[in-house]
Amino acid sequence: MYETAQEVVLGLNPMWVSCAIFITTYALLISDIIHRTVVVMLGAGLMILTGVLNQQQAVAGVDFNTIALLTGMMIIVAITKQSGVFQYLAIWATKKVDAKPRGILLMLATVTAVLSALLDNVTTVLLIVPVTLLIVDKLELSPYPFLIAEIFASNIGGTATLIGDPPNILIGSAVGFSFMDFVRELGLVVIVIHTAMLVMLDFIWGRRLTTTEECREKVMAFEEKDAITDKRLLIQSLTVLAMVIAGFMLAEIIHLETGSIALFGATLLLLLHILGRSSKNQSKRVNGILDEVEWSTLAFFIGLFVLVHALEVNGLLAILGEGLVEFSGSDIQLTAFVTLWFSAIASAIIDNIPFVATMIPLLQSASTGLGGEEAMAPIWWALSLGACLGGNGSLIGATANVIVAGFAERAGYPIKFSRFLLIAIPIMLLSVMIATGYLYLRHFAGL
Amino acid sequence: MKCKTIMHSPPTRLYVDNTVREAIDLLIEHHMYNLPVVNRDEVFVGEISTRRLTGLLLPDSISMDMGLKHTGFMRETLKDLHQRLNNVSDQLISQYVDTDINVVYPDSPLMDALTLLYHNKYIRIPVLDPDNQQLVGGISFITLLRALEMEE
Repeated sequence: MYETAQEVVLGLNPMWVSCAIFITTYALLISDIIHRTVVVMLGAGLMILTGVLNQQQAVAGVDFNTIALLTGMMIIVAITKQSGVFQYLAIWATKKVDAKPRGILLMLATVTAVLSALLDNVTTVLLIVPVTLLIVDKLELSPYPFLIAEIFASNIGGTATLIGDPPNILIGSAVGFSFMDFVRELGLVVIVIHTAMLVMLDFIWGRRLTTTEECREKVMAFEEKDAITDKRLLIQSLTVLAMVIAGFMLAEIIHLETGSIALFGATLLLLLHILGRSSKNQSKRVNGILDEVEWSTLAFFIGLFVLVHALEVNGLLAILGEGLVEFSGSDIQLTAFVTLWFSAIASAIIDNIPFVATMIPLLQSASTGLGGEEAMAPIWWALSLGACLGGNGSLIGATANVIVAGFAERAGYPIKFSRFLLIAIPIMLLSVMIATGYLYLRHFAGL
Repeated sequence: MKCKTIMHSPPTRLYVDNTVREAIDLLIEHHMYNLPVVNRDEVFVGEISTRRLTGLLLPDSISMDMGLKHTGFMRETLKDLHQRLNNVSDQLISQYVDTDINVVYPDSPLMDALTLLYHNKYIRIPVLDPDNQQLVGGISFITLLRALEMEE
């Protein structure tokens, strides 16, 4: 246990000061008038300056496993993407369905979902959307249905694994769920939700997606093997990526944290990337790759951990946790379903990363009242499903959505917030309903 | 030393209401890689570059911000490129002007201009009248070489 401050600046109660700083930070995050990283770092700084936390406590609040995992995967992806493998996959999938638009919609959405499960969603859409725009441009079609499908697929696919979406990284690291726990628990339901989403989109747009034979021939003329820019790099990066994923699967057996595995894999790939190069070229390559690491995202996570930790050590989350237990009457099923739907709705409105970062210690503080760590499992899966799938509920529900909307605008097909909602809300409701049914059958039906 | 010591006379310029076709013709005629753009009051607006015009020959998915970096898999023909050029040749250049251009003034230190030329990979730095922002000249590496030759 940490020693908590009895009083802070101006003799105020630390719990209320931390609460005020936290609410102000959240309000600023929602208003989007100041960059989110600056907002959380400012909030974290104020927690220390006002005496709510000392620096030692602030550092102790940072989950360095999450930071290491994010950093490692960012480095691996930064190197791997240079090989052109992601463009290769997109073109290969397109040609597999003879460049027929209806098939492309389903294939590119599925490629996006699979990649999102193995990489982060933002990286996936950054890699897939430009090649999608190129393909639909050749087919003389509106990119709208394809981009919408990729938004949904990225959020759904990312739900399936520990590394697919930041909320899962946070939950996995805090609760101790392994990579395989996520795959076993969420893999099947994600496949069902993805399939349901595809059926729905095909029903809406499928029959209207037509093009000419001449346009299809232009796409079929693409040579996917020429998308590979560096075969040596391709082999190296895919080998390391496969080793890292195998490491995640075996993490419990080899007694290593996912952060250590990802960071070691990233270092190994960096080594292979510079091996045999001149000293000057090595520096250029290493700096070039490290420039691609999203330092602002990492700083955002660090600030967030400190903010939430301040609430935790000053007892506010324990009070809220007790309130949750009282509200649910220690009913795990009710708590799981409330968590699922509340997380989905909240994540459609606000960034799901700070939301989950707050919910984790809150639920942890309620765990004793809810029957202990083992009984809590359905609630953690409900949080993961709700937070990840909720990202589909609006255009600002997930960073990947905003990125795709930016691409669409630059391509001359802006995605309007209200128009997106018309399809996003039904998709989100459908997916959360499937998740509800799945949680019930798996954990509460006694099958 | 000040910029006015070596700057050359007002360079060939384009007007914001010129078309893409006219811009290309002028670039070819003067063997230039970029040209300053002014409005009809001769106030400097920005520059149009061959890099920007090359982007017009490519699909948006390549030329857009964060677009595709490698497209060796495409099988484009000259006919495809020509088609894209035709689609934009009658458009005004105003929408393709890069307005984020560093400029200097006649009384600016010459080292400012040379540092900008070096660090920003510019071919020429526009020199503006500080009172009305009109284009009054330019400084390039060639301008500098000519000044050095005259010194000798």
